[in-house]
Amino acid sequence: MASLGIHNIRKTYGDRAKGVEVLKGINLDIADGEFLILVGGSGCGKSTLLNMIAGLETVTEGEITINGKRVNELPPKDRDIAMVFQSYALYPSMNVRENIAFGLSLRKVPKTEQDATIARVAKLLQIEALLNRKPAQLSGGQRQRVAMGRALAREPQIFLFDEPLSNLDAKLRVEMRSEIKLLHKRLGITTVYVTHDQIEAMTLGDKIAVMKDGVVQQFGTPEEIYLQPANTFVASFMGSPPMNLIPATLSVEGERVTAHVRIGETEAHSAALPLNVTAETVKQNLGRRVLLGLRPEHMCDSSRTTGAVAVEVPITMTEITGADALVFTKLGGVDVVCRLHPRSVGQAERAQVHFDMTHAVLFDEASGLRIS
Amino acid sequence: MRPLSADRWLPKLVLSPTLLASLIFVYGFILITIAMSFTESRMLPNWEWAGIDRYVDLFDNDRFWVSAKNLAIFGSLFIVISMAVGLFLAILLDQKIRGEGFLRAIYLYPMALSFIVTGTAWKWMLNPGLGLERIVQQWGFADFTFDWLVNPDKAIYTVVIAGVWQSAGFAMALFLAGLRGVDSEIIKAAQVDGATLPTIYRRIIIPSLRPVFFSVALILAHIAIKSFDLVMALTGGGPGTASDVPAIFMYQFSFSRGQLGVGAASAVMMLMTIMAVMVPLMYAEAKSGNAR
Amino acid sequence: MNAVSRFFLYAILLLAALYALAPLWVMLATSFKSLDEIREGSLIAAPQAPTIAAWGKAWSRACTGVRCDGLQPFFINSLLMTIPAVLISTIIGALNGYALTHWKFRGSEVLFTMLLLGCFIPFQVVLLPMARTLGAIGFVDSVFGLIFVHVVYGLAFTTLFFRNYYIGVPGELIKAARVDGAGFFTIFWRILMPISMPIFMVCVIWQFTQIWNDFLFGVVFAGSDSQPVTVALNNLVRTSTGVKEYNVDMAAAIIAALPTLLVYIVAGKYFVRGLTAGAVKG
Ligand SMILES: Nc1ncnc2c1ncn2[C@@H]1O[C@H](COP(=O)(O)OP(=O)(O)OP(=O)(O)O)[C@@H](O)[C@H]1O
Ligand SMILES: [Mg+2]
Repeated sequence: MASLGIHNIRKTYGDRAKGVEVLKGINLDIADGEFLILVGGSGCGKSTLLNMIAGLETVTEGEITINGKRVNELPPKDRDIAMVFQSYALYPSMNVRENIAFGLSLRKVPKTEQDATIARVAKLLQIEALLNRKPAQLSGGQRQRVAMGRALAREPQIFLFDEPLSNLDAKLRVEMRSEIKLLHKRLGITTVYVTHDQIEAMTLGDKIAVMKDGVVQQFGTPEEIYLQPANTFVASFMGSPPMNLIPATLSVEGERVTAHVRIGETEAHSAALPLNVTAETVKQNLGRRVLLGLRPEHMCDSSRTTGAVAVEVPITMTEITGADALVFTKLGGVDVVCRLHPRSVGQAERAQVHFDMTHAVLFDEASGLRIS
Repeated sequence: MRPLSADRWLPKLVLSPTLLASLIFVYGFILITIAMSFTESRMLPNWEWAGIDRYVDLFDNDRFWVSAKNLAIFGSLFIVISMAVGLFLAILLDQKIRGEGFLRAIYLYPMALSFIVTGTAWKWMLNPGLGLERIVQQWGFADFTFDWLVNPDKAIYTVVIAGVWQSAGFAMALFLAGLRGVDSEIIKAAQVDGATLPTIYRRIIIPSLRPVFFSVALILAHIAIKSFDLVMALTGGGPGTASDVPAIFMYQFSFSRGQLGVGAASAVMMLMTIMAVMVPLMYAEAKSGNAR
Repeated sequence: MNAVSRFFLYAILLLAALYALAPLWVMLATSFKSLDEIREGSLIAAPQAPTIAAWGKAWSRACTGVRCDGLQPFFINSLLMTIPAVLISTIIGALNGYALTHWKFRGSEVLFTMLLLGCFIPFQVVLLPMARTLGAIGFVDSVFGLIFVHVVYGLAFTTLFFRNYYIGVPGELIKAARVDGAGFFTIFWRILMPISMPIFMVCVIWQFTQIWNDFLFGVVFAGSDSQPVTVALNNLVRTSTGVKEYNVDMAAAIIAALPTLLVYIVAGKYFVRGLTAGAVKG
């Protein structure tokens, strides 16, 4: 059981002066037993951060603590962590059983205990039939499960997972996801988990850290990240389809602040959308253009919302995904997606969309930061 | 601070003997040799400064120029012919030949032999009295002569013959590996485009072997410049000094004639020659590698 | 491809094979002939009355300079020199390659480039200082001197072989083992060694042929009793007491070539693979 602290971490590969800075001052605090999700674009430094937590990369600057104790100089084997690597990293010369047992035997776990652990893990991950095979004889998904098994065989202080489910088929991925969730509930081991999958991020994490170019953009609960994104990057990174960012102008009508959004491309008229903020908070932005953030599911049918503002918009395209119809339109000169019920769309050229303004957020157009 | 974990210093410890060996026995010794080439050393090292006298001695020595010329002849013919034969055989072998493995093994086995053995064998075969010359005469060409081994103008070419015999198979193996590495989809695409086999080789496959050409040329050049054993065994540098190469020149001046200074100067010239060949080659390769 | 051109294809390939084999055949044939038969017959004819007299003489009685006890003692010298030198240089090269690829540190790339240049120097440029150094530490006249020299100048190649091989081993594999609790040597023995057999074969065969076939170091650094077989062979061929005994020369040449030929026949597949892996990539 352990808490994990990451304080002002910087990482430069190669020469400190000339090299590329990959991590630029990361601060994260994860309490004992918490499940942290790391998300971010490819190459933003997620694996690098995991490697540093594991002790596999040196820390250029800053401090990593486990249970409040600085571990910067501690070699990986003394940190009591288990890690699942992006590329599985199974030992090619060992069969599945030996792969799982390797870490145990180095830690001098008695043979009978090893066997029991292997049996338990193999059952959990449904790899009992594969125990005597070499990694080369396994499929991608099977390898990934063995890699998971190798980590789960130990009960470390901290689990590090680097996109552990990325190569599984959809069904297995769902199963494994709930396995991991249950396992975390049962063992309560502090976990850092890198993923590109929105659903994994939302369902597994106690906390999510969204990274971009070596900087944490936002660190908070899944709900905060989803509903109150700190900036336009987070807003458009999380969620699928992402949050709509609609250029709008603000005005004050009596006590209410209203956002004005141009409808369609050619149409002159605009919609007035009342916001749920006080004039005080937005007074610097009055009369200026801002970005109005609204998730597709908050631009929907009357049946799915109450007390929303209804606006009729032109349809440029419709995608039926099964449960939903994604309706594309133009608002404020940009493409916007609304999530309607398939029945309410049909062949029509226009649609009635209900804007649930309680979930609207505002961003500064220049800096991209949320106005609140 | 706690003591560094073993894994921090073990890699350095493991590499340190090699580093030390390289610093002393490669770089240090090169410096000593260079230094020695500027001294009065004769039978024994004598660290009295002599300026460029030893180089003057060297360049005034006809034998050195003979050896340099021989190296140029031998080196260029050896490299070009070995590569041409090697590439030719590799392309032929690449045509889904039955018994390819067997033929490949036959072409390559000379590589396993010492140059001394090769030299000894060819010396016997090329000897004018009982060797090749006599066979051809026995076949009925009574006035056939083949006396290159004892002909001062031709002796160096016998070294080329033996050298190519030994190294062409090696070039073949490298080229064949390169040919096999060419993406078969590219070849299929070219076939679909209607290219004939010779065109495919000329326009697509051979150009993509660039790095292999580079490696083969590098290795053969290296063998050529170091050539010592083969000449020693085949002609001994003779007749007279007619087939001398710099490696023999260096050996004789340093170890038989007690002219350490001149020997060192000739060794330095060999190093410079290798660098003059390798550096542009490697530079060109690195540049085209970056471009790719 | 039509039948005619395929016929020519095979004809050319077979001719080339005959050419490659011819010297070996001539050597073998000559070594089993008597001197009379050599003088009377043809170079390429098979021996009419095969005799192994020349082989016996080459092995234990022929003169190699002042000594007249054949190649035997020198053959043993070569074995004593080659086997330890091959093993030592291969093991160090393996560890070097491992450290250089998976335990990089500041300066390790520079170190590698530095070592690499060692592959390309003409050895003439280190002969003089090395001769004096070996003299100073008393290594002349023993095989230790030659073992030492071959290890020192073989390291660049063995390191290059292993580096090029290990660079293809994913770094995460080593990381996984470290997280599992393994250290530098444990990872080498348990993870890398089991997958290194191909490159070990390659490196051992390469080093064996290089060291066994070496002549330059042997002739420069060895005393008359510690000479390797290549030097002895050269001496044997050059020592003429009366009639030139070509059959003995040829038998001696084959004896000197036998170990490398044997290695090549037994493990030639790896040899080819090794030459390509090490050279083409490097
Ligand atoms: N050993 C290294 N030397 C130099 N740069 C490196 C090294 N390892 C990674 N990088 C660089 O650091 C940056 C971050 O890499 P990292 O692997 O942490 O990204 P990531 O967030 O895990 O991406 P992905 O989602 O694609 O796995 C990348 O730009 C990468 O090119
Ligand atoms: Mg990654």
